[in-house]
Amino acid sequence: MAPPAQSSRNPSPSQPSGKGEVSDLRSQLRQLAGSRAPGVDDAKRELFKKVISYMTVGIDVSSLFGEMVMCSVTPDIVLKKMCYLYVGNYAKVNPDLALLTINFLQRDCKDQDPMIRGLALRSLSSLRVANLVEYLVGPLGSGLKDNNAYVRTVAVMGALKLYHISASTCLDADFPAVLKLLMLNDSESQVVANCLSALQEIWNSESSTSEEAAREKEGLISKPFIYYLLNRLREFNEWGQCLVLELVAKYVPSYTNENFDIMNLLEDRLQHANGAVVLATIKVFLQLTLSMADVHQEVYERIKAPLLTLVSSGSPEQSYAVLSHLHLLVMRAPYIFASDYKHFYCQYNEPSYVKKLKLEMLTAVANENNTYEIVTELCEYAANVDVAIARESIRAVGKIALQQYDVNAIVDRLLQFLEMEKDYVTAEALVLVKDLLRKYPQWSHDCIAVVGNISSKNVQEPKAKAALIWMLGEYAQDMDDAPYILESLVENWEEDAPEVHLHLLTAIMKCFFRRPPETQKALGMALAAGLSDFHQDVHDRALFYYRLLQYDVSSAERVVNPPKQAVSVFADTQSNEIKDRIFDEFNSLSIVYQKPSYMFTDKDHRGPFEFSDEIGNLTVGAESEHVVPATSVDANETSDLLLSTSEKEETRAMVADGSDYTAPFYDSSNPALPLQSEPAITGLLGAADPGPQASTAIDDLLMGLDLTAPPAPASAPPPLKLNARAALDAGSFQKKWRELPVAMSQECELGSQGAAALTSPQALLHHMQANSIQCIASGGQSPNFKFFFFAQKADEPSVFLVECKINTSTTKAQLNIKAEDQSTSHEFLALFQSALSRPEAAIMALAAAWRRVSSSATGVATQSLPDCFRFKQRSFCSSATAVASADTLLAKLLQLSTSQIKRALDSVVAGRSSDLAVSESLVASLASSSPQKAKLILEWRLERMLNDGEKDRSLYSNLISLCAKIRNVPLAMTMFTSMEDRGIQATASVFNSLIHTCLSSNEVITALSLFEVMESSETFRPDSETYDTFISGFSNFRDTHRMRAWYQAKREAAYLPNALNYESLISCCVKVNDFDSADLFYNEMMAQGIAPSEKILDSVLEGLCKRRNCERVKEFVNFLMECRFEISGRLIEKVVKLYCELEKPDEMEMLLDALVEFNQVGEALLQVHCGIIRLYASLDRLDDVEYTVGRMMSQGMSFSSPGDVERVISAYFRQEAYDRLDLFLEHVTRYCKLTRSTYDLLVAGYRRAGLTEKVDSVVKDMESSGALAC
Amino acid sequence: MPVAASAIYFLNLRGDVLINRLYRDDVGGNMVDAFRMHIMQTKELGTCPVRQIGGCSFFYMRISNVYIVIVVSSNANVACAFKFVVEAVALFKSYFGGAFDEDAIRNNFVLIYELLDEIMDFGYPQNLSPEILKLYITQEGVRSPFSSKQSLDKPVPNATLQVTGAVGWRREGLAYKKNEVFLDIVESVNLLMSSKGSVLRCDVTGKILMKCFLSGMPDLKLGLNDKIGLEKESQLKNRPTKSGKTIELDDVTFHQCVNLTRFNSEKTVSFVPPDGEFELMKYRITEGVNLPFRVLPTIKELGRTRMEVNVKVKSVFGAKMFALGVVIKIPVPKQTAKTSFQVTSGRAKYNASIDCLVWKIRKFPGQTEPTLSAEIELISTIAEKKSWTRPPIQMEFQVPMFTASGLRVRFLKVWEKSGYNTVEWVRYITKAGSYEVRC
Repeated sequence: MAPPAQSSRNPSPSQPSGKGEVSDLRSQLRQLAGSRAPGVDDAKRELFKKVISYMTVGIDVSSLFGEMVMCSVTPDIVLKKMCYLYVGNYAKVNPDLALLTINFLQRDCKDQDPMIRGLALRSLSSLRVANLVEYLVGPLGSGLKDNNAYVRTVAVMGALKLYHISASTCLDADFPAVLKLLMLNDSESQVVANCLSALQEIWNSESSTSEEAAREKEGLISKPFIYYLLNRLREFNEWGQCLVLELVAKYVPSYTNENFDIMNLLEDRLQHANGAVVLATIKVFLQLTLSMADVHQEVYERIKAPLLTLVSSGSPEQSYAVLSHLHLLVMRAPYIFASDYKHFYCQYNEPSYVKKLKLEMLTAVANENNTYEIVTELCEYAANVDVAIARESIRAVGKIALQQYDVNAIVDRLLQFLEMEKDYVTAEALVLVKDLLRKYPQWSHDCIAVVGNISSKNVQEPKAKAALIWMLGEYAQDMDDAPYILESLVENWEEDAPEVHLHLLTAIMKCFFRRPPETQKALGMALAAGLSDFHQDVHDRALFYYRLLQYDVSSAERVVNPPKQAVSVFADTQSNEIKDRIFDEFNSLSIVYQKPSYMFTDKDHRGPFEFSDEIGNLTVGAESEHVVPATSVDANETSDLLLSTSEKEETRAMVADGSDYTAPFYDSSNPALPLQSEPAITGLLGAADPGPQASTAIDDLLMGLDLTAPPAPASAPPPLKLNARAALDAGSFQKKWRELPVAMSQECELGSQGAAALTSPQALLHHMQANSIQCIASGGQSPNFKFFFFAQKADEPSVFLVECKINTSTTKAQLNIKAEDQSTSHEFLALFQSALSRPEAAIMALAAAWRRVSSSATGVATQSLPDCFRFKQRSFCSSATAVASADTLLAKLLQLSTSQIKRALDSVVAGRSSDLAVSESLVASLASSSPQKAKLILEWRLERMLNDGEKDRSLYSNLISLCAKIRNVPLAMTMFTSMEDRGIQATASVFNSLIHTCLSSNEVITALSLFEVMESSETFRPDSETYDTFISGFSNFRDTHRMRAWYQAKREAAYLPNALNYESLISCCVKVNDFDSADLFYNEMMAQGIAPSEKILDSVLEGLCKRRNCERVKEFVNFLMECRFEISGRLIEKVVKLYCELEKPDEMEMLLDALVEFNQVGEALLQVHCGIIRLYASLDRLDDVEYTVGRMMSQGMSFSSPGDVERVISAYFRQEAYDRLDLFLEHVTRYCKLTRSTYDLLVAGYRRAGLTEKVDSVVKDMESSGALAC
Repeated sequence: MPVAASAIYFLNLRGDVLINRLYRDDVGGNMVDAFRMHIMQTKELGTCPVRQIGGCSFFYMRISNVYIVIVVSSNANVACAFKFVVEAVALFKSYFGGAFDEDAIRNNFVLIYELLDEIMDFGYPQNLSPEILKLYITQEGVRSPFSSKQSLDKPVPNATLQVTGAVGWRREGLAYKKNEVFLDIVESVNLLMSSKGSVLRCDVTGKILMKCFLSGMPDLKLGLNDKIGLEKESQLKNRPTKSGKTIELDDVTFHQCVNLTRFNSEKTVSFVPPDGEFELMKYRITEGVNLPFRVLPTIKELGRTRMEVNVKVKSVFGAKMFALGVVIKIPVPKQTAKTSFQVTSGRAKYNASIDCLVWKIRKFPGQTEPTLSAEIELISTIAEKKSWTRPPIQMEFQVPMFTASGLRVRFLKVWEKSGYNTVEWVRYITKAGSYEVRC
């Protein structure tokens, strides 16, 4: 037996651990061994007790084996027993020493005292040493024939033990036959009972191999044998009766009245004081009457009273066991228990597991007569202190409502719940109202009136939020501000769970068809956000809706908004077959677990218990605590089902798998839509005709709604004036940054509110822009961001360059300023700081405006960014440059009507050099909001080029690829033809641009025909770039098949694949979960010596993580570090997440060591630190948490997100380690500020623990820290 | 198989092993760790007494400051397992003289190991009857009736017969000078009353406890004023039922000594009692319950910081009787700052640890109605929302010589071969079970 690790690690004072004690004991034992002095037995007893107490707490005293055996030669029976216990415990690990004991045990087996004979025989058979079985057979054989019943009972069990050590020895000695004989003839009921247990076990496991055993097993439930047992039933003690009754339940009566005879015989057992006997009897009754429906009902009536008695007597654990059975019966025959509903009322002090079962039964027995009372009672529980039970009871009310009894009263109650103003009550009630409306749409009027008053901000739980959103979408026409609420929800997209996103998309679609003008903006935003979402389902659904709209708006409406029918029956969670199986296993664990035994004992009899594979599946309640998780899985299931069925109608056509695009409604042309096409979404909506109301002037509508960015509040005019329209391209920025020395370097305080307002870096960028400071590149992840800014003096071309590192958790900013004009750098610093320190108001106002722009501009400026920033930029939108330079013009254009655009452009852009850049960024920004204007710009640009007699092919080519942004193939074609008209020869690159545009616009056929043209021509044969375009295009469609075909084609055309190709290939393969191919490509690339880009590494890692292949992830990360790649935070985040899921703190520690070893710094290191802490916190390993936090802090790093802090705090609360929590908080607040939610958590935790002083002090802290204000 | 327990552990609240007994090899030694890690150290503790970890199921019960954990690897009989634990604890208690807690276990662990060996073999329950086990499991050890050192002239009862025996609950050859029988009817009243004073749920669970000091093998017969028994009696004796209250028992369970066959045919409770103390029968009644107390609370929340509580308790049993140890717990919000009371009887106190006003009345005569009126000041906190979930008022009491059900013993007859005279003592007492009044 392995010593329990914990107790030996932290020995309590009463549990010594040293080896000294053991050797002490040994010498004392030796002294006593031979002594026959009076009183020696008492001394021995004390010593033996010590030895056994050591053994119990897990100290290894097996080394005393010899001494113990020597001392055991004694007539004192207590000493003997202790010695037997000791021997039984250590014989298995010390088989050689065990041999020593055989002798004296065998002798004791022949003692004249039957007591000693029995004890010795039991010990002998409990040695569990396989090579000693030969010594066992003899004593067992005589034990079974012993004239004392006690010895026989022990011997019977001994035979069974022998069977488990060595089945063949047991069978060879013919013990089963002896046992059978005993079972049928012994006068002692306990001997018979033990024989029955033993034979059942033996024959059960033998029956699979031996026909004889199978026959014997059948014989156990034969009529003569069952009758024999029943006639002797009263002789058995309570446990024996349970055993017999269990067997009787399997018996099938041979004639009709036989079951009545048996039931009459057993009826008095229902009065037995032992609940186990009563339950066993009930099982017999139920099984015997299964085929006789009416008698079966009578049985229910008969067993009701004893069951209810059992429930109300005994410990809560016992009543739980009984209640589980009652629950099963109630579910099978609710009407029989309907009048007893009061028995299921909960008492205030009952444990929640009992309450939960009672709630379910109350739900089940509700009928027209008792609904009112039951619902009244349930409503009392909704105010219960136990939140989980409160939730359950609200759900129960809902379930009753769905059973359609007295819905009137219930709806009133539900609406009262909504007015209780408790978060969880509101949340549950919302889910309920939703289900209710699906079944009784006639109630919509009353419900919607109340639901409309609920602010979506007060609803946090995903399920509830989803329910609210569903109602907003479904009853959009009845709720005045539905579109606006939905819009505000989209604006806070990042805050919500994928589940909410899915509902949001659907609801907005529904709303759009009912109130198009008002919803248009929200729809655009939602689809864009959905397409860029990382969650696969959300992404797919957004894409699906997008394509549906693109295909045909009216069919889209038919799909999204079909005429709905009220749901009449909700699906049952368990099949009847499973229910029957559970019923057959009445009076066993199956009932408690509510699943048949094969579901949880499959791994049964697999020998010694192994944990390793299980631990990963056991979550330890890790989620952050401030929302108390809804505990019950069962209750959730129903609502899950509701949700999923609600989606079914809408998603019938939508096959979740991204590769299966050829759904019947889709165009026959090859499906193609690149992912970077978000900009065109709103354009598409504009083009689509959403309905009669929306047919007028969609353009104007768009302009009015989308892009009227509020004017940025001007900052106080500093002495230094900056050029608001400063322009600097990435190349020159990079050049200047390299050339100039650092003029100023300073750290400045950001202000906590400012930092809080900095929810996303975009907000800051826009704010700085309002202060005439432009951003050229930015990157990083919360809490660390890095920005490169530039500004230009108003009156001269001298520029300032700024590198700004911001840590939002410490609210500090590190500035490095370089200036062409060193003299003014101080003034600039002041200006910059002032802008940085009060971004709150501006940022708040601008954040919304920014999001609109950013969603449209994503990905535009990628190519134009300086190389040195490319590594970082991907983490978020980086189009700031383009937006910055074209900002003012953009704003102007937006206000103009379409007809005036060209003139405005003419007037603004005079010079030739900058206008291409301008039009490029303009197009990018306008593409999503106003594609028509973007198109006009492109046309204007084309006209100008034609007028100027431009001959440069690359300019045309650029222009054509810009058409991809607005997906306007005809325009691209026009450009192409007008170019050719001018006598400019087309080149491969021009064709490439055309193909790119076609692929972006989903025109695969056109792209293919263009390719054919290229192939047949002389001058512009397809080049490697052509193939690249196709590869990346199909990669964006996630069409691996074609992508690979094109890749193959490229190789056949004797072009070498480049890193970009592999990027497309690998990322696509990983996305469609084709990991083997991804690996293949990766290996191929490495073999060719192509250095992987970050995106490739990212994809490969993602693939490994998806496969949850810990070993390979580890290898891969090590490989990266050995190759001196800079590990980004994003990369490591994936790894950390994987380890956290797999609960592998050791792996993380190793990862951390490796990172330190390879001098990796910053983000990645922090991620790992936080990951380790998170994991330990979720495992409640407080010591480790404290150690790791200390380690992190000592390396100058601090928590990156309040979530981690909260996790740790929750762990303390779970462990009720309040003092340690204080220490931790003291430590943490030194390094970073706590957020509001953290304070809330603390308040809630202390309050739950009843520490009112703490609550007060936390509230005080919160007030003084200012967290309350924001 | 009803229960084939693989192991039994006794743990203290920290998770240290006090006792471990492995019966079968189909589970490993790290079961305690599994229990500690997955149940004790998580929120799981107390959410459900049956849990599956890995391939094993854990049944656990907390008894004072000890967890008793049974580990099984198969689809075992839960009710049986819990019953086994309860019986085993009763057995240990009878050995240590009452208490069962960590200290008692530490002091008696050798004895517990001995007992665990006897009451369960290879995972199957054996005999748990204290009367029998005490015959041969003793800490004195040498008192084994078969020990060769014992003088053989003294007749020893055949203990091993009873180890397994048919009349498991009584040994032969007992002799007392004074033959006495004590019989207690103990009822606990469970009540759930709404704030408006209507009874939502009310029932009585009663038990009849006996203490027998009788010689030989006596046969006892007990008559109650229950409906079925009386009807049957009048049927048998062919005379009309006597007037008077008859009680309808919803359900009855009996100690294993009661001859159930005879109960079913004749509706009389006849039995050969065990020696000493035991619980003869349990019953449950839902109809016609006389509530000993009525509670009439009025609680007013005056603004955010003040509350007014008025509670009137009315005793509705006979004026000559009285209740003892009456405790009324009136819940108040957590943020209670100051309380002031006026009571017409007894004493009241604010107990912050349970957030209750505790009003104690040591002796409470029948047909009286003392009142408590209290003013409560609350701390106003920002975060606390106004709604306070009002827990119910709870009440404890004992009313001697009163049964809420009205059950009475009509006769208790003792027959024994030798025909000695017996002295019978009958007591009645009604206690509060869960006596809750919502407010």
